[in-house]
Amino acid sequence: MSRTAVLAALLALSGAAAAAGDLALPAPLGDADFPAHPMAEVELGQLLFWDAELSGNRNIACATCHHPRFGTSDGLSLGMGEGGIGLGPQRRVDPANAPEQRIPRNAPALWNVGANGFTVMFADGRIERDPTRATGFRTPLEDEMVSGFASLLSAQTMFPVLSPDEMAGHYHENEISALVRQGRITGPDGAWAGIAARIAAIPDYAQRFAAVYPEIAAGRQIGFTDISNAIAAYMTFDFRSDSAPFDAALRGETPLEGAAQTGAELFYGKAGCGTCHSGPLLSDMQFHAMGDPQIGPGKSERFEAHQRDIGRKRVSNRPEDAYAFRTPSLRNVTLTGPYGHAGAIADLRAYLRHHLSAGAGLQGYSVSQSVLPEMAVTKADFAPGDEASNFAAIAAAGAARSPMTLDEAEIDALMAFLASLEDPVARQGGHMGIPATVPSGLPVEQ
Amino acid sequence: MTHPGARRLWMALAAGQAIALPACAQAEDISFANRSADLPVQQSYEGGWNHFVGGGVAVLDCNDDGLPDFYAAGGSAPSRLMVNTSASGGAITFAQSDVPELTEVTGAYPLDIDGDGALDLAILRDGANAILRGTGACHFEPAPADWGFDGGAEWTTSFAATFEPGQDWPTLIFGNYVDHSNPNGPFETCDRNYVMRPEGRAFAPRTAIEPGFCALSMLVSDWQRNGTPDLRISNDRQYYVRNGREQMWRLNPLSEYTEAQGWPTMKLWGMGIASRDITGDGLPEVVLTSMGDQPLQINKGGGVMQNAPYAIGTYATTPYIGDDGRPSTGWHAQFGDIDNDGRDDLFIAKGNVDQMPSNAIHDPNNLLVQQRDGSFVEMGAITGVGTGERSRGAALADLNRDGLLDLLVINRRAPMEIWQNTTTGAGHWLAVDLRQPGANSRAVGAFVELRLPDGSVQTREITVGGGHASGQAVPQHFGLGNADTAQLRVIWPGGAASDWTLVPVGQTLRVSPAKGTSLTVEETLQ
Repeated sequence: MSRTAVLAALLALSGAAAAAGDLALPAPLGDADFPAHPMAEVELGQLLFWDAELSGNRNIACATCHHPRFGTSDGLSLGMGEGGIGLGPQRRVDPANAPEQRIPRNAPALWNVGANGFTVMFADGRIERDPTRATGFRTPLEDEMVSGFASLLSAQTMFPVLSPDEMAGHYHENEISALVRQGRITGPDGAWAGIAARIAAIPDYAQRFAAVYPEIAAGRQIGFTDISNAIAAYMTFDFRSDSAPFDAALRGETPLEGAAQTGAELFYGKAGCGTCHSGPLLSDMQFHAMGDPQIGPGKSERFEAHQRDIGRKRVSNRPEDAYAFRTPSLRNVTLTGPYGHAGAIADLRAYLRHHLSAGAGLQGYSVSQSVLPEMAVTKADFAPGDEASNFAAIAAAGAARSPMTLDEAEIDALMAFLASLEDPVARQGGHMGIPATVPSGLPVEQ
Repeated sequence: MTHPGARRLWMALAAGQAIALPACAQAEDISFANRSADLPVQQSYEGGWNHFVGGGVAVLDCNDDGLPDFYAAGGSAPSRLMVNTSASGGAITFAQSDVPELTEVTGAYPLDIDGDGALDLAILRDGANAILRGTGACHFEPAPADWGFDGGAEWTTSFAATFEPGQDWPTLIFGNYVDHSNPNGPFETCDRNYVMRPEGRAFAPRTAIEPGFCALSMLVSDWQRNGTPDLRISNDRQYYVRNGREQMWRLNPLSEYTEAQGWPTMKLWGMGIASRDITGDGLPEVVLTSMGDQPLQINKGGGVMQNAPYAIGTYATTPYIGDDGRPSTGWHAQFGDIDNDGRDDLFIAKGNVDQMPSNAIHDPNNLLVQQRDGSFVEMGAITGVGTGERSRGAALADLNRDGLLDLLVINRRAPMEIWQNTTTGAGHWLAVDLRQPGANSRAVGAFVELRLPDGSVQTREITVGGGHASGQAVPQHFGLGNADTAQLRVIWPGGAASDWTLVPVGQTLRVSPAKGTSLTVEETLQ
């Protein structure tokens, strides 16, 4: 760093401190916050992320519901998984393979999911760092979980491929879905091995895996953990987002100004947002019941009649975790709508109002605030009654907090602050762009 | 067969004669001691996909010493016969005993097929089923060829039996799972089930029961108490997927109850059946184990089964201990009065199918203890029996003749468990061992009624089937609370009812039909 730059930084820092008063802004993100990966691994992961070969019916890729055009989400309240055609709000049912139900939760954005501080995956944290467990982490397979994944993000990547509604398909539609339905996941006859065998059978992938992982070059078979490790490397690199105006402020380079600065003062002050949306990732990686509307099928298996999503409780089994969801990172939040664990509210400003109401806003909720493509569903998209989504219980859980009243000018300011979290890199769709082709030859969702 | 000498004829007491018994404590303290490590060899249900289901245990007294023995299915691992070596009231111990070797066993049910008084074993397998004929002293041999038994070649996962009118030998019903031979499988390729009727002292060729929907539990029960037992089949939606249902069949001629006949369509991930009258009206309720909710259906009479309110406490939808909030997977279920307070309790074996991420991986077994108000409270954690292995079959039986029901649990990919009931302050009890001379020696199809001084009547149906791949042929255990006398009545197979007969409590009674409508009651010395 040149002397001039240091001086500028120091000036900026002091300026920020002066403007922010006693605001305790988080420390900035930097290289040390992200695992480093060779570009060959990142590029291999990119191809896999965009390749529908990983899905049972070869009709959906990770990128379909985590698309840079929609802020690494899908622009929908609740995604339409395998059996859908097209992207974002234009996604529609494939009449030849109609999805059985919507994905029960909003597709999370992937910004900075590779950061070391991202310790809780999924809205319910069913994959998370957990020092109380012998392995140091929790996954849905508990002690049946395989070894070989290099990071928590890699472990996370291993599960959407097993979901019949998301990627695997149903019953005997394909060899992967049949294994999943039977509960055969690990081992040489399991679903993960089945997907890995598909990838290994494509020469371009086989060569790339051998080039990236010496053990594979030495003769070890490609395992699904190799696939997930490469995808994790890709997501870490491509979806790293630390060049928003907010980051410049954290680094002391360019302080926030005007409404954004006022919004920051509210966010970290009176409105109390920063208590949970803390740290440079704007999440405490904890779980809170916020009174968000529940729409769609709920986190409910086919053998369950209800449409509830009790959030963290379904993982932790702790009554106090009912209807609590992990604090989402707000990185690029202006690009990642709709909002809430079920994506029930598409408009960020409207969501903000609801969010401040501590569950009271549920009474006036209308499903017209959501974005749900046409689809025949067996469970109504909107079913707030006790036997279904149970809005009363959600509201009661949310009411543990006090509602926050902000005037329009204050909401304007908060919106301006949230806009400062939008990274030009995210606006252009990440660092790498969309690959023109993938080794399977399957079409790439541009 | 010969009975041990330590048994004498008990003279019926005149009504009203008092029997002195120690007063029992009001607040019982339910507890169990883990005797699993005392087994001479670790017994575990093993294997691949074809042993994701099954894992049963048959409990029977094969040497007529008054102590229940057991035969445990091993799947791809050895299946074993364990002979009870416990002292009465002492620590529960077993010794391994030789038994003809069978592979790929999924479950077993005891019953006396040939009417020789010794219990035989119906062995369910992925492959040809087998009958092991008991010849006494816990010796078993393959059924003689002239029995005409056709074991088939299917993947069998459930069993039931009944003695039909005019027959000395039982009708055997084998319930099958996925049809391995169907290339379109495994989904929507549930195999047919088969019924095998006797023809004299042999079996006639078997008859298919169609359609089959992947039967994981079957029970023949006179559930309407109209003298005509029906066949209930609980089916696993995991494989029938769409067009299946819970089934009730008339046995003769075979015909399935329909919606038009008032049998509502119910779709279930059905795994096990427990049947017992818990409302005191003589009509058996059923628990149908499944994924998530474990429904309890109240028998309203007139062929109507109605789901109990959720508040009854038996639905056991999710684990009650541990940090896994996903839905449970239920298998064997069985009623029994754990603390002899006169109210039946419920044990449910739980465990993940194998690696199903939708369901709890560490899924504790349930010990649901019935309260005075008829609701049930979970005691699995307090007593220790709520272990989190992949449990499958199980049995409640008094294994050491102390009047308390003990517990056997078979686990997939983990050693089986033996839990000795060490409850203190339990109520009075009575066990009734029905015997008939000649055919159907265990009086399958009979109802035992026990009337307590307060006028309440406990009813037991002698059945073969239900649970999950697990059957028991042991004396019927009754908890009596504070009652120190009881009147016993038996409605024998065929419908003949005995007189109400005053019987002593605190022991096992062998009860047989006597002249007219009277009973012969033999006391089993311990």
